[in-house]
Amino acid sequence: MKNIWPIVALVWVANACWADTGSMRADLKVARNAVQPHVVSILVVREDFVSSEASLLVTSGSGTVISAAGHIATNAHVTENGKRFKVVMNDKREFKARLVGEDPVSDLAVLKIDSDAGAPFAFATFADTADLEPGDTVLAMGAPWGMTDSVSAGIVNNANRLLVTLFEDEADYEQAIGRGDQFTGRYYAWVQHDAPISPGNSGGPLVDIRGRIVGINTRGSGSNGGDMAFAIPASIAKQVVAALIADGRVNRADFGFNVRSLRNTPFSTGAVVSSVGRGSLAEKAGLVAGDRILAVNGLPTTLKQPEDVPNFRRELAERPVGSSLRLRVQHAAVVREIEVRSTLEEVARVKEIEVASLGLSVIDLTASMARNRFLEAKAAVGVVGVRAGGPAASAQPPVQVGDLLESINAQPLKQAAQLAERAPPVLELNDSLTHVLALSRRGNKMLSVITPAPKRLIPEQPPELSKAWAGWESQPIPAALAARLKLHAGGGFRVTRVYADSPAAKAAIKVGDLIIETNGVAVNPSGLIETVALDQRVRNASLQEPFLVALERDGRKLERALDLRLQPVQIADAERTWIDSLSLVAREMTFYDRVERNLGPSQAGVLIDRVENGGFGGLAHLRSGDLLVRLNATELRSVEGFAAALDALRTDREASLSFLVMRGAETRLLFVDSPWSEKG
Amino acid sequence: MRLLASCTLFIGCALNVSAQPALDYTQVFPDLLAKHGGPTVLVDYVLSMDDAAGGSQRVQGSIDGVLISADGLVLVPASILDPKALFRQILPESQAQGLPGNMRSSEFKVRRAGQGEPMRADVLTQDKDLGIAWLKIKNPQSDLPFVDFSKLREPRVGEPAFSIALGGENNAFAPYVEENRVRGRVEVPFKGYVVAPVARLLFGADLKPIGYAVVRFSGSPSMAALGGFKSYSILLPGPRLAELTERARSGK
Repeated sequence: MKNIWPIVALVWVANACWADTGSMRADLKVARNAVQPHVVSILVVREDFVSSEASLLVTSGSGTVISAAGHIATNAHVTENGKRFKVVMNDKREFKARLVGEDPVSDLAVLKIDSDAGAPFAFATFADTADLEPGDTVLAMGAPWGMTDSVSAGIVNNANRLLVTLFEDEADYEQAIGRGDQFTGRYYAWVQHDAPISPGNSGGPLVDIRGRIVGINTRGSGSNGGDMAFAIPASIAKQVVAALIADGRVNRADFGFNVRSLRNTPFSTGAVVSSVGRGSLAEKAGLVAGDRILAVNGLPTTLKQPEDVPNFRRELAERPVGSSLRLRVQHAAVVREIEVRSTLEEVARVKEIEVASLGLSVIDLTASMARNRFLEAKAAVGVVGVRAGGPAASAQPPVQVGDLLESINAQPLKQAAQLAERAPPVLELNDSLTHVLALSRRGNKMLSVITPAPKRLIPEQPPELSKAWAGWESQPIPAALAARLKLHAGGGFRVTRVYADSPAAKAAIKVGDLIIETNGVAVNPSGLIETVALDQRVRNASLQEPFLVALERDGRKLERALDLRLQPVQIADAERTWIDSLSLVAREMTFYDRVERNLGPSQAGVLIDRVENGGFGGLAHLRSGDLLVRLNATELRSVEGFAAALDALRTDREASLSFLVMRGAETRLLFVDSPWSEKG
Repeated sequence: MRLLASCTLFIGCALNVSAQPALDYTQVFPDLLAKHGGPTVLVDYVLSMDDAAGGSQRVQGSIDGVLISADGLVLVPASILDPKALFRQILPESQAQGLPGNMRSSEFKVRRAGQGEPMRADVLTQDKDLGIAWLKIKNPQSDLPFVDFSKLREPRVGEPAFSIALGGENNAFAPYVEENRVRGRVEVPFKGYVVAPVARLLFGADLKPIGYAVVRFSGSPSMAALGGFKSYSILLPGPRLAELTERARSGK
C-alpha cells in the first residue's frame, strides 16, 4: 500500500498537467477568438527616395480594427511615405484605406477603411489597465513577411523595458532608438516579450490571455525579428490612437529640456536636467544642464531609474501647450525657483520632395532639426538627395546633400515646396536656361549655377555606331582541332547558324561551312571559345565593298562575296518608353529578342524593361523581361501602340486591366484595377 | 629671266623625282596651325566613379578633339566614354581590380582656343572596336571652323604625319603641332596603319587629313619593365573614317 503513493502522485501530476494544458489551450482559443478576427494585413504602396529619386515600392504591415467605423491602429513606420493603402480583413475581404493620422514620436498611426460597404465593422479593444507582468502569456498576431492570419505565442519578458543596456548612457537613449530626427519611444517604455515576430508583424496586436490588446508590436531585436520583441503598451496606444482619430495628430507640450535619472549620480532625490534646447524657453528661463529638479509645481520629484524617465516626460508632454511649470531646481548648493513655459512639440517627420528637373530632393528643416545642425535659421530648405550625374550634381559648384537652399534666381526659398514651384517642369526645359541657387554650406554663403535637365528614366549607355552584319553565328576551330576533324589545316570558324534572309543566307553560306579567310586574310582562331577575331572583322568591314569570304565545304574551297548590311537594332538601342500610369518602362522587341526567345517575325508584343513594384504594373505582378502580348483586348505590336491602347482604356474609364504576358515557358494572364479607377 | 625661272622649276621637279627634298618644317607647321589650329579643341568632361562608401566621386578631365563639321561634330577617342576599359588595359592586374565598379563620363564641353565659354556637347555615337566617338555640340557657335572631311585621303606608309593639340589653360590653349610618321600597315581586324602612340586626327605634309589614330596596347602592363608591354596607334585611314562619320551622322 505504501508503494502505491508514488504512482497515484504521478497520475495526479499527469492529470494536472493534462488539465493545465487543456486549460491553457482553451484560454489561448478565447484570446485568439477575441482579437484575431479583427486583425488586418496592410499593403502599402510607399514612395521612397534614393539619391533624390522617388520610386514606388510595396511593403506590408499589420493592424487591428478598433472602431465600428473601420479605424485601424498600426505603426507609423508602416504608413510612412504611404501613397496608397489596402487592408485585407481576416475574412479575406479587401478594402482600400486612407491615412487618418500618424504620430512618429510614438510610432503609431491610424488608417480608416475607405468604404461603407462593410460597416459597421466588428472591432477589438485595448486593455484598460496596464497590469502585465513578466511571465504572462501573450500572443502576437499579424502578417509576418506578408503571410496573413499568423499567431505566435510567448511570455512577457519585461513589461517596462527601456531599450538601453547596462553598457550605455541612458542620455543617449533617444538617439539610439530614433531614426534621424524622429525619436520614437520618447514617452514610454516597451513591453518586451518573446512571441516570435518578423517584418510584416509591425502594427499587429499583442494580446493577453484574456483577449485584450495589451500592446502594438513594433520591433524585433534584429532586422529580421529575433528572440526579443517589443510592443508599444496598450495604455499609450489607446490614448494616441484616440487623439489621431479626433485630430489627425497628437499635440504635445515641449518645455525645452530633457532629464535623466539619478542612476550613477551621488543624489538620492530629484531628477537631473540632462540637456536644454538651444534658444528654448527653458534656456531663456535660466535652466541649465546639470540642474537638479527637486519639485515640479510644488510636488517633490524623484526619478531613481531610467525607466522612470519616459513617464515623467509624458506627464509633462500631456500638459496644455503654452502652460507653465514651476520648477524648484538645485545647482551646487543654490536652490532656486524657475518658471518654464511650453511650446507645441514639433513633429519631426518631414516630407521629401523630388525636384526632378534640378536632380535633387529637399525637405523642410524644422526648428529643432535646424538646432541639431547648429543652424541660425529656425527653418530652412535642406537638400537630402542629389541624383548622380543630374543637374545638381553637375552644377557649378555641385550642390551637395546637407546644403541649405536660400534662394533660386534671387527669389527667397522658405519652404521646400517653393523650390518645386519655381524650378521648371521637366517638359518645359530649355537647354540654355540656367538658374542661380544661393545656398549655405557649413556657414559659407555660396552661389551655384545649375542647368535643369530632364530625368533620364533609362540608364544611359553611350550609343554605339551601327556595324556591318553577316547574319551568321560561328564556332572557332583552332588548327589542332581542325587536324583531328580533318578540316582545313590552319583551322577557321565553323558556321553554326545562318539567319534567314541575312547576307550570309543570300550568299548561300550553310551551317557546317568552315570560314578560313576574309578579304584574302586567313582567320586562325587561337582558342575554342573566342569568336571575336571573325566577328570583329565583320563588324569593322566596309559596307561599300563586298566582303569576300573563303570557306571550306566538304573538303573543297569555295569563295563567296557577301553584301554586308547594318546589324539589326541592338537590345541596348531598342526604343524605350516610360509608361507613367503603370510606372514601368516598355521597349520594342528586337531581332535578338526574337532569336533568344525563338519567336517568329509575326509574334506580337512589347517587352517590359523595368517595373516599379509599387506602381500599377508592379501591382499587376508584371516583371522585367515579360513579353506583353495583349492589353485587355488589344494586341500590342509597339510601345507606341501600348501607350495608345492605355490611353483608349483611360478614355473609356475601363475599371480593370488585364495583361497577357509570355514569361519563360508560360503564358499568364495578370489583372489589376486600373489606375484611373482609384479614388484621389 | 623667264628662261631661268623655267629652268629652276625644271631642276626642282627633276630633284623631286630623284630624291625627296627635306621637309621644311618651318613652312609645314605654321601652315598646319593656320589651316587646322582653329578646329582643334579640348573636350572637358566629368568622370563619375562609384566609391567604397556607396557614393560617387567626380573628377574633371579633358581630352583632345577636333571639329569636323560646321554644325558641331567633334571627333574624340572613345576612351573618353569608357575610361575603365582603357585603365584595364594599361594598369597591372592588381591595380585594375581596384577600379570602381562604375565609371561614367558626362557633361562634355568643347573648348576652342581663345573662344571663351565652352560649348556643351552630347555623345552622338561611338565605335568601340575602332576607338572613336563622335560628339555633337548642342548650340554650336556660328562660323565654326572645321576640318573638311571631303579632303580625307589614304595614308602612305613612310610618309610624315602630324597632329595638332591645344596647350593648357595657362597658355591660353595655344595650338601646337606634334610630328609622327606612318610606320606600317595592318589588315586585321580592320585595315589601318601603324603610327607612334597618339589619339588624334593626323594630317599629311600636304595639309590633308589622312585618318584618325587610336592608341593600342600589346602585352601585359605587369611586364612593362621587361619590355613586355608596348603601345602604338592604329590609324584608321581617311576614306574609311569618312564612311563611318557619314554613318554616325545619318544614324544608318
